[in-house]
Amino acid sequence: MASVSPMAMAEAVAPEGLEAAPEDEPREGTEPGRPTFEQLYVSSYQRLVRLGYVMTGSKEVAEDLVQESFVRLHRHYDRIDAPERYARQAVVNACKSHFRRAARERDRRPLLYIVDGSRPTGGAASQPGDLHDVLLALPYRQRAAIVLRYYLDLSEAEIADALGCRPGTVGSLIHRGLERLREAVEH
Amino acid sequence: MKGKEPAPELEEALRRALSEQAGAIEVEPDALGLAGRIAREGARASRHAKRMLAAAVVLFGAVVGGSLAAWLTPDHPSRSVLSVDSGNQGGALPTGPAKRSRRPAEEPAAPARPPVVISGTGLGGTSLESYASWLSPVSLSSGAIVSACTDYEIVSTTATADGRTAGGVGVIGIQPLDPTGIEVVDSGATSLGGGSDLWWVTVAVGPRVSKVAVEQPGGRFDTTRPVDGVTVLGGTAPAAEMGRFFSVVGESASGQGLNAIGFLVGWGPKAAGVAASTAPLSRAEAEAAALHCSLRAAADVTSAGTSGSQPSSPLLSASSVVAAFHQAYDTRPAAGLDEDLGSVAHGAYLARADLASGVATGARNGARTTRPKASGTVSADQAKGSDVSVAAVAFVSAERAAVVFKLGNGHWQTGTAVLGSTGVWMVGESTFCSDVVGSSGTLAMTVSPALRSACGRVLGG
Repeated sequence: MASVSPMAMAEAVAPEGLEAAPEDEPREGTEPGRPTFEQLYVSSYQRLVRLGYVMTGSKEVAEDLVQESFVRLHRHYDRIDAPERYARQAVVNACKSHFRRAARERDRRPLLYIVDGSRPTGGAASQPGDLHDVLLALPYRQRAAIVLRYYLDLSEAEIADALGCRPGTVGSLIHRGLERLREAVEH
Repeated sequence: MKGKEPAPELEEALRRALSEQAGAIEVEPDALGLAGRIAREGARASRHAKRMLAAAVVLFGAVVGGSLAAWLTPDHPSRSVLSVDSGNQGGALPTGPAKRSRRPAEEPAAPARPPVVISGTGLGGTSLESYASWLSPVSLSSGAIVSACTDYEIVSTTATADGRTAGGVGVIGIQPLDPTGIEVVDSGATSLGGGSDLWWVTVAVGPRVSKVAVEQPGGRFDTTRPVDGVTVLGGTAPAAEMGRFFSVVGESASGQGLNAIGFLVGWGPKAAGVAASTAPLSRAEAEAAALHCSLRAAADVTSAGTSGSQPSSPLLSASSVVAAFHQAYDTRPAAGLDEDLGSVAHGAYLARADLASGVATGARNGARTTRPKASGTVSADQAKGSDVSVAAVAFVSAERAAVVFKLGNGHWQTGTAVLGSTGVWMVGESTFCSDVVGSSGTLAMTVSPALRSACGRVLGG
């Protein structure tokens, strides 16, 4: 299957971004192991909400983004080769869109993440919540790369596919993100 | 890359932090919410498509109108240019390779299944008509929880003779019957006076059955050919025969008998195949099935446009229907008759009639806990002796549903639910009253004469 660009994912209303299934070869129900839309929704909902949560820091926002992603997925489900991967990418891009919208409103409601310098330093001494707070302060692409790498254990190639960039860029994003995390927890 | 390499312990702490943060989140899929979003999105897309179509029509009209005006205008410059400069004898403009649209062609809409209409004349000049007109997602329920959905057809039948009309609604599972199978979907009778009854029966048959014969207890028989697996037969018969078995025989095209069943008019399984399709589901299966049902219904609403063939939230409405049946029929010691009849259409009228019987409220409500045997004159509350099982809810319209249910260990029957003026679904008054009036011998229910009389008036029109 041709890779799906993040822009096409963000504009999920654009079916031309997806590889169309041959007309004489209906996909649904014919591919062994391919879940139905309903099965995929039920089986992956919690996993995707958790992904959205570690990306956004809000359970409510994560649920909303996952629901929205499935609305888009439903529109093209029959034409999608790897629905699980598409769903994951849709959530990643929905998070990206969410932060874009949030950025536009930044003047009115600035997103401030205050790192308390008195907290214990060092990775091992850091509290899970602290690291997550610092992670949420990272630029979106760095945060997404780190979450996909250390939460979903995706390879650099898979992360590059999800983020729509080159694998080399993924390494750079992760490295810079980790640097900022390290600096934040050490100060 | 510049800077220090991140410490492995930081990466490990990060993995742990993310895992712990995510693990603390427990959520349940919101299938109804998703179905609602998809329905709204579908409606929005439909509106957008209509606007685009309207704009295209206007544009096309303008272009055609302009071209026509140009053609009619003598010595119009563009006409001269074309005729002189195109260089093609045919006058056609040179064209390049056709541009391929990036957008794939719209998928053709699934052809709607035409309604099955069976009309004919039965024994004694009976006029018969039957529709299998709805291919509808149906919510199956277990107890009060809607747990699955499948496709059923709603078959409505009317029989007319001597100016009297009888009829009913049955449900047929889309799951095909056995090739030689026969099932009675619905049957009924009404008195024509003078000791004669009008009877009818709707029969679902398997694909190998090409002729169906019905024989009255007195020996009269009639035959008919099924249409799309359904047929309807009927006639007039002495009232004395109504309590005896009628028989239905399925025959092959060559006249060979394939199957035969006996039935009592007004009895028997009215919902073919329902009992077999109510196997319990796992939670995941139920959720997936419920979502499938909602999506199917949402898609039907979207494609049906303004036909209003389904309520806007079928699954929610199906749950409401199931709740109404439980409220009306279940034994709940804490509840009173007024509350029970509150879930029946025009229940207030029936409650007033029952109160007029003079049974004290305390006695009526107290009697609910005991389920006495049917004897003597007792209140309608004791009619609630059998808990109800609802097998299927099929929406005939946005305000009406066919409900397959049974009371206690009774037979499956088909009733109706209607959307009340307050937006709450209620048990159809004729359904409830049929159970009240016809309770003797079939249900562990006894009713006050006043309520029975009131129900008789409801059923009598």
